[in-house]
Amino acid sequence: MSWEDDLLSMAWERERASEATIATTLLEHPGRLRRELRHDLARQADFGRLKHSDDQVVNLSPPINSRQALTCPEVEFCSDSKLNFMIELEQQQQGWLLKRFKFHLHLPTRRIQMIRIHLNEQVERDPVRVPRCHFHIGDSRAHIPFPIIGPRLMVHLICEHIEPDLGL
Amino acid sequence: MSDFSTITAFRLIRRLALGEKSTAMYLLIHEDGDQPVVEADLQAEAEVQLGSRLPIGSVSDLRSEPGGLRLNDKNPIRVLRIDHWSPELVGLLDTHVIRLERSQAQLLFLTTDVLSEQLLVAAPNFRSRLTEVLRILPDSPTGDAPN
Repeated sequence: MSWEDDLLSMAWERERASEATIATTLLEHPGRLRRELRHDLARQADFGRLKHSDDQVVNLSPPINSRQALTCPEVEFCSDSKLNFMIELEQQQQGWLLKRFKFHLHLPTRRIQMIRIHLNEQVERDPVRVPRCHFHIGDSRAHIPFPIIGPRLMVHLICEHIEPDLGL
Repeated sequence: MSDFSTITAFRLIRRLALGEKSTAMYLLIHEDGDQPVVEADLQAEAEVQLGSRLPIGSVSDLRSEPGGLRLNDKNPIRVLRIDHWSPELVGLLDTHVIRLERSQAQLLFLTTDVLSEQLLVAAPNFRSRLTEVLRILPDSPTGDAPN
């Protein structure tokens, strides 16, 4: 096996583990998940991390086929950072599963001004270069592998650990 | 139609959770036909924000609890529907409002415009003890702002 083939094999192995995680991580119904994310963001406002949060902070799109999307157009941190996200879920026989997401955190006053965490809809042809779940630092085109975690944990991670610390 | 402030289940349950353990009595007015969706919103928000189910019943249930309100230890909130006009029930509510207030409960009385107008006139003691009268709007998951 060539060196490239070896790396590709390792990348595919990582992607298979990611796919298994997605296939076994059942999420709440999107309507319920919307309420939970709204509550989580309201708590972040209570803790003084977000400037404010309201009823419409997370919206649910009408279902298309077996999919529904949750979108948060923007929440603003007290530090002036801004977060927006989109999460698409798909209903399968066993329940609701993650299909894709995009979390974008803008940090205008920091040395690193943006971080984007993406779960693509499917694995690209070259998983060494583009893992299905990855993040971008700033406007870099480098796709850095990122673990697949549920939307609520992602919001928590961003609000409590990434935003307060990144690029200071 | 009286001009009361509006609220949603999300904001109301947040308010109650922040004022945990303090007695409150709200009269919540909903549009005709919105009762099932408002109750579903209140139930879902209680589950998400408080981690417990909300007892929802009729105000006539009070007749069967002469010794005091039965409350869940974990959750002092209780929803009571006033969905038809009954002079006897309204009289009971007006007479026993102080007992209700002493129950340490957070009581949400759900009713319609027409019934609320009758109730607020016919039960002055009840009216004077209310924390607030609010118009409750169904949640709007798609992002259309509540009216």
